[in-house]
Amino acid sequence: MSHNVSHPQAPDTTHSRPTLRGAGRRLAPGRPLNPLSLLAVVTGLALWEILASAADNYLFPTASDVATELQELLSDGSLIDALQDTLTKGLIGLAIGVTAGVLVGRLMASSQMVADSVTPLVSAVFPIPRLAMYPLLVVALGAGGEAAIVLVAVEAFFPIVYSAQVGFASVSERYRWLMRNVGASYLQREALASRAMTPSLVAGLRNAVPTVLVVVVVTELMMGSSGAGFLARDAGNHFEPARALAVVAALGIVGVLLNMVMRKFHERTQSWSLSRQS
Amino acid sequence: MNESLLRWVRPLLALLLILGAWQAAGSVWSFPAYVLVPTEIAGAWFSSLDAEMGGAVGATALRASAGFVLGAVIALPLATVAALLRPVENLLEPYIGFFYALPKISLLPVLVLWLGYSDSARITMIAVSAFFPIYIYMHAGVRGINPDYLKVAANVGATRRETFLRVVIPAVAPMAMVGIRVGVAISLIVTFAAEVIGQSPNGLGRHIQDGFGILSYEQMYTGIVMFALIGLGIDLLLRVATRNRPSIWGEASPT
Repeated sequence: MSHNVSHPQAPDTTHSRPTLRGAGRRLAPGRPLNPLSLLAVVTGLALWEILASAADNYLFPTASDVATELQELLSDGSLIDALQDTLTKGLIGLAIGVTAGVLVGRLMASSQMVADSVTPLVSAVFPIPRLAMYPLLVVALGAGGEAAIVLVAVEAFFPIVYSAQVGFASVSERYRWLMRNVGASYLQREALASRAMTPSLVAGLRNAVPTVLVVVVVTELMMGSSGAGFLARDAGNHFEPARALAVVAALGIVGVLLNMVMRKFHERTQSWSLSRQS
Repeated sequence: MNESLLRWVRPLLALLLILGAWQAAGSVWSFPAYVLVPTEIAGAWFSSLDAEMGGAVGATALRASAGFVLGAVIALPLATVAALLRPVENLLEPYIGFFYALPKISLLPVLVLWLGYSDSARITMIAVSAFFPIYIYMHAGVRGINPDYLKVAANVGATRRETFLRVVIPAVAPMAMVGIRVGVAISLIVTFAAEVIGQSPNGLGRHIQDGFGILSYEQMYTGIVMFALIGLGIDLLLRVATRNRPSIWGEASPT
């Protein structure tokens, strides 16, 4: 009996958050949208326009109302400013979280004892809703953005520490042995390990980046007076659903773009791994 | 036996080391008022255990469960259908792709305009957020069924019902479980956000927010500890539930 049916690639379950495997692929540039998908988008937008026009209620703005509002937010610069604010906070927090995660991950990969001590703690802390600490962080650091940055750093730390450890551990003994035998210095060996762990790190980043965007927006929705989250809250408080939806649409576009960039980055660095060829 | 003992001892020692250093640092330096040491947090937590706290925990748990169940009930069948029928998937794909990438919580101000500062708005928010991880993992799970298994089932003359119960469900269960675990975790986080932003009259989010309003650090810490315990408790429960039936739920697990 010969079964030549290829077994589909099992999805990667090693990371806590799903990658945008099926969903994002079709939205990539250069890959034409399926005609049925295109039809679904056009029909959806048309239905929205028709139903909202029929309802004729300012609470249910039409698609074109939202588009007009989006254009207005873009032309007066407020949306760009807000998004810049949101992304800056996210980027600083991400940088701190990634640095800490890589250092701890390196430490865990180099010592079995550290790994045995820390790994259970990391996975125990993982299901805790850390967002609940935000009000306390605001008391400590003020609502100016520092509290959000700290929270982002903490949230980014967890997926990164895990993938950094896996990445460093993936450099096979054979390569380490080879490097030592040809007389590579400590720094050269570390450089090799860092390059080899990059694919795993990038996989972690792909999970961390959408989380970072969510965390920053949530903090802005709760407190503070800047960023895209604040813009959406402010529009809601002023009973302007079209404006709030325009901010939502902008955030969706930013999210899709970020995912696309991360996927490209992921593909580019895939070949750096040293785990398979050994 | 020694090995398995070490597996528990090391992380516990590391935890004690961290807490001990924190406690010791608190008695050496004088921390700002908003940093409590572990003994103070534990004390505040024990004295906060009253009927009022019970009510807050109950309200939050109920809200999170309602949102999670609503999200799961829609996501599981929809993901199954989309994974099996290409046209359905093509129709859904652009929407799933857009809303997956969107920070869903930004919809809350609009939901509040439509539904008021009500549990309808808060629970809808939680359901929408829980929907996506469950959908994505379930979709991957159904897609990942080894077609050989279905052929074997057909060869031995299994009925559709038997194939579904004995082949499809066991094959999908591990991925479905991962989606459910991620969905539960997200439901809890979003419940906090929805309670604070959606101005809930009760629940742990209200408890922490009130503590913020009157600058009662103890009250904020007790809320955080309670949230942490609920998160840990649910995760432990799901782990134990799946560990007892590894043949069904498999080894797939988030982190």
